[in-house]
Amino acid sequence: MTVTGARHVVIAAVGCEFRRDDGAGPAVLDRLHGELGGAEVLGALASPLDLLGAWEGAELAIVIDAIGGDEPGMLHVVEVDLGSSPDACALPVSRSSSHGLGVMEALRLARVLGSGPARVVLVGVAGQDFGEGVGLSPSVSAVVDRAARLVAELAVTATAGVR
Amino acid sequence: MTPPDERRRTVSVQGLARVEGEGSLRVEVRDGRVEDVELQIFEPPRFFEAFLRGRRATEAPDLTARICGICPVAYQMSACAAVEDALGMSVGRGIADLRRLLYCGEWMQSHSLHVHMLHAPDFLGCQDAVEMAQQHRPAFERGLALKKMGNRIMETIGGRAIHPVNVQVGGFYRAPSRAEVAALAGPLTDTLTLALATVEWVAGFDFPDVHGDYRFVALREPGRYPLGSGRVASSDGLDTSPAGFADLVVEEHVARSTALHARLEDRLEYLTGPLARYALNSAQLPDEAARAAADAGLGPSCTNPFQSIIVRAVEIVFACQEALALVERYEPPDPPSVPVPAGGGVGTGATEAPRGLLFHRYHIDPEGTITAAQIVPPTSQNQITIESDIRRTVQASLDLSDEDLTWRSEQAVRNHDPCISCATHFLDLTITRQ
Repeated sequence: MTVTGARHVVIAAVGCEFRRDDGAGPAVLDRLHGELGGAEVLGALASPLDLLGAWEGAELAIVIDAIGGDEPGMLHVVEVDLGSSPDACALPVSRSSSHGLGVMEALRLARVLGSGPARVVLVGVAGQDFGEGVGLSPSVSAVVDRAARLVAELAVTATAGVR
Repeated sequence: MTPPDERRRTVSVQGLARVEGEGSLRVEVRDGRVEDVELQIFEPPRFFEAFLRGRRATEAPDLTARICGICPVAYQMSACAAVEDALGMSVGRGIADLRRLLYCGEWMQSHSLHVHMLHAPDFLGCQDAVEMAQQHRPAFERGLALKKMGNRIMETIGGRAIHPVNVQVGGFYRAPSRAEVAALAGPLTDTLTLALATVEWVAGFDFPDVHGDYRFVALREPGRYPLGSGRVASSDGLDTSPAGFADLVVEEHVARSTALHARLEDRLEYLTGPLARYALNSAQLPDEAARAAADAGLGPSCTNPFQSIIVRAVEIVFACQEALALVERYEPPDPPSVPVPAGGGVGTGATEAPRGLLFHRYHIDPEGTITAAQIVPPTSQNQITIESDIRRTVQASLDLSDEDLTWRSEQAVRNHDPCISCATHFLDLTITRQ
């Protein structure tokens, strides 16, 4: 993982590895290797509220999280406009993790407080089993590498764009 | 407002808001009397207890820290205490003090989150933390600053704020330098001022006149407010070791729930957490915390569960003062940990998580492998008392509309800051009036 002094792009994951597919975000983060365009990897956060301080000053935050949905393994990439109503974002955020506040609440708080990065891109991995246990469902596990490549591409492209 | 039907009322809330984790609550009211209260919990029971079997005892602190993203230090501290008890280990004052400083950080961040973002909205008529931030921005930002200071302590001592990685059985992998710890002093002094302002702020809220006849249970130790050590005491005279207490606790399955409900062996319910700690230890608070409590109108104990927000705020002041004292006398423990001896045994560890007493008991074989584990979080212990609280609160509030009664019932749950995810999974609320 690459860390630079410039905070153009930050990457964070949210989720709990002991809630099966809720661990998709941290699993994707673990597979991030190679060129990230100088993006700063913040790590896996247990509470999305911790995004509030961690992403300050960044041009772009890429947040990886497990989501609900009908098609396990489906990847969703949604750019959230922090200047408009967050309710406009229809991404089905998972409720099965142990988060005190969800990613969407953190985004809404950032908007209210006038803080946070200029842009936020959510990379959602649709899961199917959010019960207690370790290990991802096969359909989710199968897309982790692809999600990691997607995140890396987003980071490299965004970093190039702001240089 | 929805006018209440005096004979039968049904109130339902899907997904209790602002409670860590999820679950459900159902209340039945018939002919003006609360007939039944069920705090329902749906979760595969005791996953972690099974998960720990067959793992090395030295892995317990890191594994159990993952149970809760809000209070990982509590799980680490109780796990270390239990393993060290089983193996006959004792750590010196330097390591114990560093653990206490780490725990202060967790109390600050956890209590600040609950007071400012989860509990205060109940008293200010805000639906959630976002509305709080919109309507009460200075208070919200004060909460963020307090939480940030707690996180900073956890990062300095634990290596990172979320699931600290520097804790091990016997102590720490690395002791932070004197300079690293000394750098906390200035910010902590500023944070203490913020914490005192929080006590004054919450003391001005309007509180329903509801009181519980609680049997309080908390750690107690001579000369200081409890955090990571002590004997287990109760308001009706219990005084025993953590192991003795674990022997007294009876956990039972209830048909409606997959979580276990804890009682003492005399079958009586009890309450752990800030109200219990305060009632049994208020005389041990340091000067500024004690003054803040008195100025806020608290006596030596508090039996109004809605005023638990004041007690939590006082405990933030305590955590700031205690952290400052620990920072000032800090000397890096050398070595930063004591060796883990070979062998096995049975050990119990109890510490004060922000939400209350958390105890672990491990059976460890001679090879150092866990063969049985028992983890009893505060929410499991408080669950029956929370139901009693809801019964009292609803009974005293039947004149409210269904909408307001639902809100009040949710408050009765949030008063105890239950970490449902430590004990369970999904929460909905239903109230039936007949």
